[in-house]
Amino acid sequence: MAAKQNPDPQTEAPRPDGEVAVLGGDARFSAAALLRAAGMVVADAEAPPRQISDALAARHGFGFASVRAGPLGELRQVRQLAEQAISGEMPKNIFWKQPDGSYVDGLRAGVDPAGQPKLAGAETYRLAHLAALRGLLASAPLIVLPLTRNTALVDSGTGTAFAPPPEAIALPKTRKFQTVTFTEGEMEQDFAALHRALKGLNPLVRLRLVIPPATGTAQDYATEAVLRRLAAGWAQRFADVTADPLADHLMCQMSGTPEAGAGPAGALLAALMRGADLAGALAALPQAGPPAPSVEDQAQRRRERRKRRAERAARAGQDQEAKVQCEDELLEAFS
Amino acid sequence: MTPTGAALRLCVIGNSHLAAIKLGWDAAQEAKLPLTTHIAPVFFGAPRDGMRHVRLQEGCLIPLRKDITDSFRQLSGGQDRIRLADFDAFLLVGLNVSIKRIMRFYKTHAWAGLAGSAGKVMVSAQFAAEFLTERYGDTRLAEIARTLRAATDRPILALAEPHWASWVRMAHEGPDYGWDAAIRAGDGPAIGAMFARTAAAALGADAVFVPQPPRTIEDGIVTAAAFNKGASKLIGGEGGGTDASHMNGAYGLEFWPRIAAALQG
Repeated sequence: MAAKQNPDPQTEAPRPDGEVAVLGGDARFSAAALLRAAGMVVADAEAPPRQISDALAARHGFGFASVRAGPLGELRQVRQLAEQAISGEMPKNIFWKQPDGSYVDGLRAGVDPAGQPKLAGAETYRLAHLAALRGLLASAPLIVLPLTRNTALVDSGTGTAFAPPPEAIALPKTRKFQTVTFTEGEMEQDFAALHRALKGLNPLVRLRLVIPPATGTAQDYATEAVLRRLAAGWAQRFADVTADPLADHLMCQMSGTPEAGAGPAGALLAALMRGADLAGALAALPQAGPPAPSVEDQAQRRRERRKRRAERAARAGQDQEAKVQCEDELLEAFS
Repeated sequence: MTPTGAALRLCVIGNSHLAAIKLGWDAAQEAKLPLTTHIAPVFFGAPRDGMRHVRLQEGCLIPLRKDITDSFRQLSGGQDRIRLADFDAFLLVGLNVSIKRIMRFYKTHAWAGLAGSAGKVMVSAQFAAEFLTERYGDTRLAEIARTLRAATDRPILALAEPHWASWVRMAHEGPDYGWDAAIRAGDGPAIGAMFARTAAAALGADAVFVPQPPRTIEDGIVTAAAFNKGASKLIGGEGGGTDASHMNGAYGLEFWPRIAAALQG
């Protein structure tokens, strides 16, 4: 690793609130969107601006996960990303110069396909992304890792793994790439390294592995079987790692119908993700509505209501003043 | 000037920021600027977002409320509706397009290349431009431009609301849009350029955006205090006023040669 390094990797980005963080996702499968629909508070370290349209947010990769890192879904890439975020370092040759002269971050080429006009700008942009991710990893109590693939596009010279870029993105002709299918042994190593890195930064963090059920080719089913077997093994060996095929199937079912998140399927999913076993999650279903707020929650809500009332009153005062000013302007000019 | 030599009948539509343009016109007439013989403006408008209560019907923009009708009559000298066919060109003024939208965005987000990015979500300049174009496309200015363009092939020009007066940087009262922080970070010119670019893009082919004259701008995002002085009776004077958002006749006067040039096209 290490062409460029954040001058101060210890500089902490804001730590976003949320009971769960999700690494990876796109329009085809977004665990973050499903968990949000199920009522969970999903952290967002790279949130979109308010009032953005759904279409624009989707086009720029907002909301599919807790950071705008692209689909991920493959362990080598997740490991690379976490290690880069924690160290503040970036590998060499990850910015791909395009025919129009712009530089695209190959590690998330689908997020900003227009790229940056200058290499230095692209580097600064990636460092900001890594800082945001670091803040997320340092504070998230639960990290969800959707795993969908065991292949990646690998730069033969550096070993850096990339997701296949969108068609419009040109791979650099000076680099050699090959599609690599990682062995189970390599994935074991990647997971162990990822687990070690995440726990080193955030000792209390728990990991939840999500393997969406395959719906495509025979190869997809074979990949799912491999990933599911590995995930079950990691869940057995690591006390803070869980995997649950039932939750995976619920997510898959909800994937086409997000409104299902408001129903029993969403409540069941949220309970399972929060750590309940199946019996506990089912028992909780009749009271699947929001839990009764605690005394502290009620006091906090009262404080927030008071604050909102005060802000409304202040705004009303400003509006009144603005109203007088606006009308005066016209009256004066046209009198 | 129209091909027949008659003065160009210009329909000027706006909110309270129309006042500076009207006062600028008065000043242009007083100074006997040649352009005043080529253009014959008629002003229509309503304060704040009153123009939302206007509908296009049978070739006319018609107010739906009495107070807006009254405002039309007062500003235009008696006309209670805008007959599109009566005009050779249209000029839209203010109508909720202001740099404040970018300033709100800049509080939480920064595009790559800006200096004031600490603690903010960094996005690409491309995304920022797309987002802000989308937002400016959802304003009264863009909506009226669309409405007019669907009904007439005459030229349509559009001006945004002025940047706030420079003294707002140090103001202790009122909402803080972060003017001072942006200027101190050195991001003012980039933000100002992004505003001009995205406001124009939001109008698309519906209208030609006439940006705020550079002579009136300080630090990219605020208006020189001289153009705010005396703009409102509520203002006590340069640096001590209560209304940083409205400008005076000198500001409007700066615009008229640009409007005339844009009309010639």
